[in-house]
Amino acid sequence: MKQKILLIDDDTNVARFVKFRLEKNGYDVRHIDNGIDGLDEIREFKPNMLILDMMMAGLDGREVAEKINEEDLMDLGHIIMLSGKEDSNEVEALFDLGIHDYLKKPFKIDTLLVRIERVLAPEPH
Amino acid sequence: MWLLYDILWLVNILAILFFLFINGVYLLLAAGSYFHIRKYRDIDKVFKMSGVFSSKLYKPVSVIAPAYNEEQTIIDSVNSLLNLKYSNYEVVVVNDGSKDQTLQRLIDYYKLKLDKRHQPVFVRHQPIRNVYTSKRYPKLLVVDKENGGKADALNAGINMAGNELFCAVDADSILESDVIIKMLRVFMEDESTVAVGGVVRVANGCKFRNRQIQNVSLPKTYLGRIQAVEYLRAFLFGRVGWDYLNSLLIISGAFGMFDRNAVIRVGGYLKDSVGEDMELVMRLHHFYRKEKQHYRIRFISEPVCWTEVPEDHKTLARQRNRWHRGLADTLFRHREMMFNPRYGRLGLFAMPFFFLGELISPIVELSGYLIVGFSWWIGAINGTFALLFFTSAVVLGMLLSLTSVYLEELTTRRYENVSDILILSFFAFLENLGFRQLHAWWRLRGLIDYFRGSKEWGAMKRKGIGS
Amino acid sequence: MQNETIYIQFITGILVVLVVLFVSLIIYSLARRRIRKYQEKKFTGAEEYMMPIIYGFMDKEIDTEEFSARIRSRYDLKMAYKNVNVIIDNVKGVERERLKTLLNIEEYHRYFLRQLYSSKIIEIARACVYFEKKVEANQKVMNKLRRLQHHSYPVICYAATLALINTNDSWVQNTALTVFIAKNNNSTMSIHDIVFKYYNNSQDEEKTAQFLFSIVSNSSTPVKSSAAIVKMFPELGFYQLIDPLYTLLIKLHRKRIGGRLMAAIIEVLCELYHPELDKQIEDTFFWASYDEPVRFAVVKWMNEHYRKEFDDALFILAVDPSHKIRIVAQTALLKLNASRKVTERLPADILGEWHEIERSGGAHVAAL
Repeated sequence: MKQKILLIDDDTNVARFVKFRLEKNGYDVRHIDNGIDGLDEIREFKPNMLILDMMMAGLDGREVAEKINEEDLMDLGHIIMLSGKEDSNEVEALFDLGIHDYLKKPFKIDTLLVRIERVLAPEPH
Repeated sequence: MWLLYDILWLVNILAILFFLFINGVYLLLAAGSYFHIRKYRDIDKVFKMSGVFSSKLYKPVSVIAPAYNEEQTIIDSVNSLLNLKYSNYEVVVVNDGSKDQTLQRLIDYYKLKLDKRHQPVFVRHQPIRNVYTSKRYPKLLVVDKENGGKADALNAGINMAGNELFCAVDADSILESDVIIKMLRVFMEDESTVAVGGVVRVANGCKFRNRQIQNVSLPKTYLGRIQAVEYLRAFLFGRVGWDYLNSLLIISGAFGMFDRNAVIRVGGYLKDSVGEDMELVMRLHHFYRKEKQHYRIRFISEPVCWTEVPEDHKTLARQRNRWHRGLADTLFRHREMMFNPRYGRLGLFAMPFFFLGELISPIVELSGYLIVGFSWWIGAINGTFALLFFTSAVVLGMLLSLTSVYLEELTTRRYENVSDILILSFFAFLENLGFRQLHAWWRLRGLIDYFRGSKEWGAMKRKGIGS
Repeated sequence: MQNETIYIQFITGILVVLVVLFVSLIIYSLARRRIRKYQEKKFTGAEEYMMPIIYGFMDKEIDTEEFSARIRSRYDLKMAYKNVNVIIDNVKGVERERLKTLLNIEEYHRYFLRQLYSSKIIEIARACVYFEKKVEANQKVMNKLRRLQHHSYPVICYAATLALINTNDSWVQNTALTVFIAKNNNSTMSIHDIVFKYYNNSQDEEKTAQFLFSIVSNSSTPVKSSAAIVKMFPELGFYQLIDPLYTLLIKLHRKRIGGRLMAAIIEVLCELYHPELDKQIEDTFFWASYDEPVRFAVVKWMNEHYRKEFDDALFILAVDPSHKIRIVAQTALLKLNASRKVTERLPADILGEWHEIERSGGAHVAAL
């Protein structure tokens, strides 16, 4: 079965491109452009991996991560955050919460792929 | 008898000329703003501010939101302020001695802790009781102070804000998420900018989701729709037109961005003014022109904030009464600038025009109806002449409102359905029959209240000097 | 009654205008929505068609020639441009470089070359953005961009400068920067933006540092611009400029010019530290006659690198006419650890401020 990845990012153009790339690498990818719908989608789609944009209008990435933590929607270790800024305080708070990794925009798609693999690859059969 | 007739005729002619002039200028302003918007639309997007999320290249901003008895909405409002798309900003919520649970709600929700940070006094205000911060929300600063009114709360916010630029916002209006970047572009273009305003639009009837506007639509009520037209005419094309002439006199209290040092230099918001937002802008003009320093006060034609307008007569009447008192107060305080060539276009055109077209127009309008009616009744003028008056006052007003709706459709295009445009144009006609006269009446009451209030204030002052 | 006719003509005229306006508004809104719907359909179609082609290009399955050949309409062309632009901004490395070559195709070049010579500001600006992104080398274009650096509208100057800075020729970059910085009406933020891009594009960091320093120390550069550039040095990591900056400061002090630039240098050296300046600042005559910015920079230095030797100066600055200078000076005096002595030496009207500083322990003293 394909590994499922959910992408929550309000920058649709970028997300579409990332989605295309991930699909090409054999993942089942869905994209949602805001935090509120994103949370619903996590419940329904039950992704193995979540790629979450930090800076979104409305509910932002950090709040989504906190909600996931509160309601125990998925393993926080399977979240990669994307962020356009380097704010060490914010990033530290996120690592404290337990997210797996963080990537600064703009990034190389290959870097993202490697990091996803690191989380998802050791799949026991 | 013939003398009376002649006088009445002359008065009528003057009233007609008055309306022709006022409406003509407004039409010209609207036309000017059309070309202004067309020419510069999207141009600001060239300042990509690509480093906006990553470095200290751009000025940090403080968002100051005064709150008074807003326990119902305060958490939602502050949450949306904390989620603006800009990395280097802080939110200063000033609790202006609320009598309800506003402060407690904030403390509980954000897990606020007392902070003993320094409280400098650059501008005066009522004493601050406590300052709170939150570890989890490093952007947030809550200031709890004794009640002193909106201007006073803003002053406290200005003192506590640590950044070069600040935004004054109404806690209950909804901001566009990229509002700071939009406004900052203006400061990037010309650094001598001291204040920037933006388009305030009617939120009633629009759908909001995820703290964002989702669907732009018209309010459902008569008064709401009237105001939708009014906001287009006065706050969109009116102000863009004034910006084009470089003589913007008002920046709405719902949202404005200011250079903090400039505001401190002129002494902050004026506590005893009812129209503190307009008064500050006027004082900035006054100060910088007097000092002969280069400065800019700008208006951007993009929507920056959505505000809930009152949809019942009583609240609306009170709001308009207050606005008119604020206008009277501001024009009176800065009367030195009026017809003073030292203040350029501002003193020679914008201010006198505000005096005529805004301040005393309710007097001219209401007495105009009476005099024309009377003159027609006694036969000093004939029906055609009365119709001429009606045309220059009311029908030209319709033309102006309709032009504004047209311009909205030509430039901003926020309404999605043709039916909304149809309703808007219908209300552009309707606005001028009934509501406009009622509005004039409210404003006249405001003017009367201003003079009454002003006398009381004067008496108090005399007592102060005597003792 | 000739007047009568004029009145009636006027009234009818206004009414006719009103009706015409109303009817045309309704027709216009209907038509506009129709057209928009049609265009949207076209653009969605174009997007669905073009996206796989763009991705194919990135995966090297398609080359530029084939890309051009596959374009069917201007909708395709526009849609592709929009998407390529966004992706370029959001990816790094090989993919980005490959996408940039896509912008070089004849169709885009021709189109934006025409826009560059347009009289509409927005079109010129868009063309500048294009030439910035694709990295232009065409002489004719560069000459035009150089002329646009003197455009009356600031956004155009900014965009043209960015385009020139984004070339591969360091001579072009340097002159473009010099020309931009020499202008009087730049905002600090746009200078920061441009200098930051210049720094990012440069190959040789040492040369960049020297060149920026030469601009700063050039007396014909507007003081405001020099100050803005100097303030970036710590972030850019130009530690090699510490000594030259100090020398420049002393030179400015001797000539008694450029207060704002002096303030910026003192602030930067405060961050990077310079022992000789630290000594010099003890001397009140060094700074007392300067305007607020210099005194403010000095008081911040004293607060940051407090020594007992600063005390006398700090007592002078604690009663400075400028409020922000006073509070920083008083904060520094907190470190004296002898509150009573301070209270005695300060005049009564300043005591309120001093007690407030004492209460807060100097936490978050105005950073401005």
